[in-house]
Amino acid sequence: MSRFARAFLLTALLSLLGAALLHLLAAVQVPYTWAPLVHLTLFGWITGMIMAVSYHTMPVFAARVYPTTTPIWLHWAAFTGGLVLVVAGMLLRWPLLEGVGLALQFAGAVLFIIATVLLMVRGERRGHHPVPPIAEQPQIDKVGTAATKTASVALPTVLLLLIGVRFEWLHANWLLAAEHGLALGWVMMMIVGVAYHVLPRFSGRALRGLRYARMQLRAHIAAVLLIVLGLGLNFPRLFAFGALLMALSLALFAWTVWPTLHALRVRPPATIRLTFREPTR
Amino acid sequence: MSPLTVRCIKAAFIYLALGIGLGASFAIDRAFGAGLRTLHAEFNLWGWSTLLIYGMGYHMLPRFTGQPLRWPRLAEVQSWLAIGGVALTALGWLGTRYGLPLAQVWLIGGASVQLVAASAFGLQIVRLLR
Repeated sequence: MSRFARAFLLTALLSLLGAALLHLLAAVQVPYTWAPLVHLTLFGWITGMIMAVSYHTMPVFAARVYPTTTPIWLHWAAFTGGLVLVVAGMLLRWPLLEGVGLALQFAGAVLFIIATVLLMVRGERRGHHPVPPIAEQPQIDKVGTAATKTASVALPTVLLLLIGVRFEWLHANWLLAAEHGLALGWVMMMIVGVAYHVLPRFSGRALRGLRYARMQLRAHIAAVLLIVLGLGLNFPRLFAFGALLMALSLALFAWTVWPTLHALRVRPPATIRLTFREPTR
Repeated sequence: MSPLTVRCIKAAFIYLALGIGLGASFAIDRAFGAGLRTLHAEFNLWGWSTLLIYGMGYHMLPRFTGQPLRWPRLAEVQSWLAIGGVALTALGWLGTRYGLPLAQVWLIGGASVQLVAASAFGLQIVRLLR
């Protein structure tokens, strides 16, 4: 595992411990602990784990090597520093600190996109793209990639919304909209994308079908847009329609991946070797 | 996948169904949602996302690092603590909302169990990275 993937993993684990502690304080009803708890869980623990896994697996699935690690280390610094500032700002009730932290986190999200684009455009090729001999997997991979690309755009968009709320450029309604955008547009979309890539590889069994995966992704994207706009613009019917569409989309997701999950239960898969060599420069 | 991973993933999907079900019901009755927002967050953040990461982490991270889990029994105990901790905390939030007896005890007990589970997971993964 590369040093930068380990760095994200360590930040995620520290965030998990911090979030679990805040969770306990919120249970004891210590005031002002709920907002930092939600932020640390979503942006620190969950996002940190997504980043660690992404930085480890993307070079493997793309069959390329990062041309430079500088944007990745800058991303880690902005991600970790921003997280500390936002949580401290929330606990100390210091909005400016929180705003600066959010701006750093936004910079980190942009650096993640830059690092990914650099990998795909300028990364040195090595070997072949490891597509397993599973029916429709190359097309399923495209659906998975579309999901992870959408998720990568959702992350900085949500951070912009949060910055807008913090500096009172946007109505407070957008806070709840941003939280849902993050949970469903970034975290859940990334889970969907990664699941479409890795579950067939782990199990050796195809998903239920390409058309279900495509339909699910379209419904998911539409639902996120409806939920975020419904909450932000305070249109309860739009939100209600989006929430029901999201429930349908996630049921469709479970239906689509069920054959692979079932196969994972029935027999142990062959181990997939996921290794990465860090560039020396 | 090991039974440990499958257990975490199955529990995560059950909590996801509860979390999304609650979220969809809030869309219909917003006043209901205002009272049970913490329960909705508990199911989605600690039930769904965190349990899914525990399960996938136990599967993927040993493969990424090329080492087996140092303490497999601790991982078994950790998974049950995490699953049970979410259930206890959820009961606590529900009890707090409807004024059930001992709700605060369930809430604090569940959050404490989850803190122990998080520490055990952290310890296990940090050991993998050494």
